[in-house]
Amino acid sequence: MAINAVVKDGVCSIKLTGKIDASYLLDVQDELFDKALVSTKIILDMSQVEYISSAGLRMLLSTHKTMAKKDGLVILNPSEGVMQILNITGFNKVLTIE
Amino acid sequence: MSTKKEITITANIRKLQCVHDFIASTLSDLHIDKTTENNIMLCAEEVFVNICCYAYGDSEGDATVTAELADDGKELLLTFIDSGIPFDPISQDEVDIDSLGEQREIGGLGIYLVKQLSDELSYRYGNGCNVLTVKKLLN
Repeated sequence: MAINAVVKDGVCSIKLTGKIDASYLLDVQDELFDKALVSTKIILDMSQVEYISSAGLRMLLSTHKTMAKKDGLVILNPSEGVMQILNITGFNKVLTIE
Repeated sequence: MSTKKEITITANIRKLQCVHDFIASTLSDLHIDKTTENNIMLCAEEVFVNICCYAYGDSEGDATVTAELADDGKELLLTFIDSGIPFDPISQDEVDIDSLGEQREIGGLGIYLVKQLSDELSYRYGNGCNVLTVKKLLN
């Protein structure tokens, strides 16, 4: 399973769709990590993500830590379902959400 | 009275979709809202993935999932059974969600989510099996 990513001037825009669960991440985690290594900033559009589990949260946190030394990770337009989980876990206070 | 269904699958993260499909089929005739459905799926994922990652160490084992739906459709009981290492996830220290920032440790986050999103959680160990039951009230 591939992810839809566009890189321009070092800024990587990624649109994730569907469910970000442990099974999904087995396939995309390495690709995301590779994108983080070569980008100065990552914008993660999560408007079409209906569901995120702790595996997805771990992915967000590790990407956040990697990008903190550069221009950062931005979570763009999280869906209501994603926002609920970010709020419950306090990740809304750690991540940059726009 | 209630309706009860059961599946047994290999405890492997690649089988997560089987668990979700099983629960979706249990809920298919009910008209529950998407948030409740997602929360149920999330609880199921966290418990199942815990079994996959920790119950059997480097060995392979099975997980049995039962779904018991009350006849009035207002309550769902999901029970997860494995014959791995005895482990009560409920009694573990709560994750401290206030310890934010770069140093944040996120072990225990999955079971924290299950506690937050379920209506009741119980664990017992018997006949060589871990038995974890998640109760969710349905709208």
